[in-house]
Amino acid sequence: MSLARYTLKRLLLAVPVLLGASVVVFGLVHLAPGGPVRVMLGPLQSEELVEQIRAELGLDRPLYVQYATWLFDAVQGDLGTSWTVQQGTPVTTIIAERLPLTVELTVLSMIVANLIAIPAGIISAVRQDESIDHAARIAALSGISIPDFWLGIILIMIFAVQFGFPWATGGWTPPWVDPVENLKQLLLPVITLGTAYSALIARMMRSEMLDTLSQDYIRTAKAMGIPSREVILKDATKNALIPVVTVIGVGLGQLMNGAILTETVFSLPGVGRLFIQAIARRDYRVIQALVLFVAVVFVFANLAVDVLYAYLDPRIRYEEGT
Amino acid sequence: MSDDRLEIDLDRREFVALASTLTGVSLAGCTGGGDGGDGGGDGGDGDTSAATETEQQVTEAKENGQTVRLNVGLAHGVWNFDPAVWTDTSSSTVGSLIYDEVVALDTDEQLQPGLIEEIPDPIDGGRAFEYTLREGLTFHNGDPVTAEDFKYSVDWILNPENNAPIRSRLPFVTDTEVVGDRTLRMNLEEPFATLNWWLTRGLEGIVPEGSRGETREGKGPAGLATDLTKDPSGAGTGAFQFVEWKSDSHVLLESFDDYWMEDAPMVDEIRFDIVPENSTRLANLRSGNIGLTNRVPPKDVESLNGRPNITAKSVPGNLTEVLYLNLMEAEGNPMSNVNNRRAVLFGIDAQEILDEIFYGQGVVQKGPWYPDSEWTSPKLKEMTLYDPEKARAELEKAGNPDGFELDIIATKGSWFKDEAIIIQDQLSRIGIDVSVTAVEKSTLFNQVYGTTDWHAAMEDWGQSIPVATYWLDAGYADNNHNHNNWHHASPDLKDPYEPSGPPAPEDAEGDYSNGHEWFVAKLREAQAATDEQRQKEIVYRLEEYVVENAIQIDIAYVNKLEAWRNSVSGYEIGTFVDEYRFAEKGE
Repeated sequence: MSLARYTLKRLLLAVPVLLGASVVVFGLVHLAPGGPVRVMLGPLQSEELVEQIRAELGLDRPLYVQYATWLFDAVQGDLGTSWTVQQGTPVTTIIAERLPLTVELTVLSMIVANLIAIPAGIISAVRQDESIDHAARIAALSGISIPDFWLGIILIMIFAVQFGFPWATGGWTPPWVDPVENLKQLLLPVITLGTAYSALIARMMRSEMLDTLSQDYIRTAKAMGIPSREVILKDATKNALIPVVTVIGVGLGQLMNGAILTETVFSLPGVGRLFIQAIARRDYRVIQALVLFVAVVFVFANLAVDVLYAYLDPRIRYEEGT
Repeated sequence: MSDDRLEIDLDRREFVALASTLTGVSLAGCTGGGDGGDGGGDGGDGDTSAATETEQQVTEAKENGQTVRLNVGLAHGVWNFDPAVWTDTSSSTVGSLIYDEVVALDTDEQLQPGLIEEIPDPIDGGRAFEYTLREGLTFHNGDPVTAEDFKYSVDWILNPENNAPIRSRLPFVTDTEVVGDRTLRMNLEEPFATLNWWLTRGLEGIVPEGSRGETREGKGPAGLATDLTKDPSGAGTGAFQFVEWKSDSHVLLESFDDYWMEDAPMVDEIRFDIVPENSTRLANLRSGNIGLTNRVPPKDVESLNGRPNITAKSVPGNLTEVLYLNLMEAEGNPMSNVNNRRAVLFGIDAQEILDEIFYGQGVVQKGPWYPDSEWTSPKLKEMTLYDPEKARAELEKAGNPDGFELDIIATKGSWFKDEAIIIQDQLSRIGIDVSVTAVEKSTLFNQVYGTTDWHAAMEDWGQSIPVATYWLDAGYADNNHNHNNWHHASPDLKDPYEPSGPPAPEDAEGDYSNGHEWFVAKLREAQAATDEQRQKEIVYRLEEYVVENAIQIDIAYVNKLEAWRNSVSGYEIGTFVDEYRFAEKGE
């Protein structure tokens, strides 16, 4: 099957995945105790008023009717308006306002993490059992073990409190307003968010490199007189990257999850923090929209990984029925 | 060692040197000192010299045309900029600078005329008040403030179609009339002598006529948002005018040059940064990114005061920690029994809770109101509530000598669960087996205020009006809606509620179906009374009744904890009000 057909097939399969995710979240959110009306009105309002508002919002209708209404609007691009996070504002507007920050944070974290992790993994594998390998493995283990919210707070304490750097406590200036300030403000959040991810990639890369370096064709290439650097960087790395690419793709979703804590610690008004607020304030519309958004990201990230897979390894071809 | 290693021409020493150099270069390029030191000590004289130095710096800044901005860190976000719709503290804090109250409260809890010339006395036997606006008031859009704007602002709240969440803060007000150039009359359905106090939170701003727009036309959920909810530009009269709001990020205000109060405001801009994470907010304060912050965690007060550039203050606060009790009869609900409730009351050591969780920053309550207040019953002031022996005796009277099982629900994310766990430990010593369930706030609200299926709930309540009758009213009086499912028989009592609670006192004059009916009647009598001594007598009796019958357990008023850098002066912190208008900021 050609890659184009495979991609189209995967896109079509994404529809039931997204539908399934929306049904599950819709059910969970609506069945959980609590609701948005008391958040809107405060505690001491009459039950009569609460029920009146619930009816006006359609919350007294059967769940399947509410879901069908939401779905009908959603496929037309109308995700509703926020009830409690930003009353009266279209959900798409709220997400659009917050998305650039989260995208920038996630992408930068991914780029920086990979720029560090992949070379570190290669060097660690090539210099196996030397001190640099031990140091890299300890660093990777630490990176995976350290909770990112703790790391964030410690970085703030060091750079903001101890050294007095004003950009170190978070906040976000859009890059189109002041790119230098933007990068300074995101420096510590990127380190926080990217550390565990980087550690995971480094460990994976080391493991795959070790496996690849022990293959016969590598030995053959060296025996043929091809310089070691070329063998390692061109032949071994490319093949070792194949499974790592999978982890990188899946890691994108993990980064988005990690962004929730990072944005909270650094007071970044992104999608992650919006998620927390929406759940705490029972803003059903915002929660459903965000889950749908994350599901779309996961689906497309996995698709991109599979396509990249086929590019990296010509042996990989997707058969009918795959 | 293998010969296949990749050759990198850098040994460890060179690598460390290079890394250090690069790090140093990048940090040097990023260096920008925060507030740095403020200079000067922090002793008593240091405070004065710091304040004087701030004034000099502010004067110099203004002479040089520099914008003086005060950055304030808030722990919670702002949700609404319409004073008729906001119900949270942060929105009120920010909104109080955009708008002015009609009747204001100062930091000493005294009434002051806000937008009006003077605080009026009730007229017509207490059934009306007339309020006259100051001359020359203008909105931020330049339009004069008129009596018609005043009438619009009140009528909008009174209109039941608008579902204004703060309608209950204008009790007994039926309608308004413009009776003069700048005078508005509020008519009441029955005498209510303390209306002025209620207006401090019931009417936090006058807005231009029509500025709220057509609220039923899809502006927010069920019309609960107005045209002012997200953008109050031009609609305020306060010391600062609205510039921008980035949800979950910040609110920026700039000074209003035509403000009616002289010598205010003292800064050109004030920016409220939303920083919910405590550690981050305090780091912002320490680094100088913000000059002032609220909601300092109790454990951090001492360490902040130990820093030379920062002042942390702890003053009596308006937050009361409360254990709500469900008085309604229901299978398995031990709290419908007065002796069980009294056992819980005597079994809780409030001082231990205050010390463990709030580091002693607060005061143990001996009833609904502040223990040192003249409005707290002298009899209650003499009582010692924590008494395990009394608690055990109450269990005997209840027929539960070995105790009973009690479920406490507590809100997650704050200290309520910790308080409930301490209570669990304390009550276990007298045989009461407590289970604690932590839930989201909205879940707790739904269960406590929407069902009868609960025993006890740990929460807090922010007193917004400094009169004892306000708390007695807001907390207990509504027959269909109070914290403890305490009801009396009445045609307006709705399902699933039923009459509950103890009988009226034996010495009660009149025929009352139960204690709640008596309570409400006496409360209304107190609210209508113009004689303060008579009011106090009734309030004392009501307080004694709720404590004797353990209607709910009032644990402690916790202190309000705020901190600011020494570059900030003129800021006043009070129990119910913080005064930002005179705050100044130096370098």
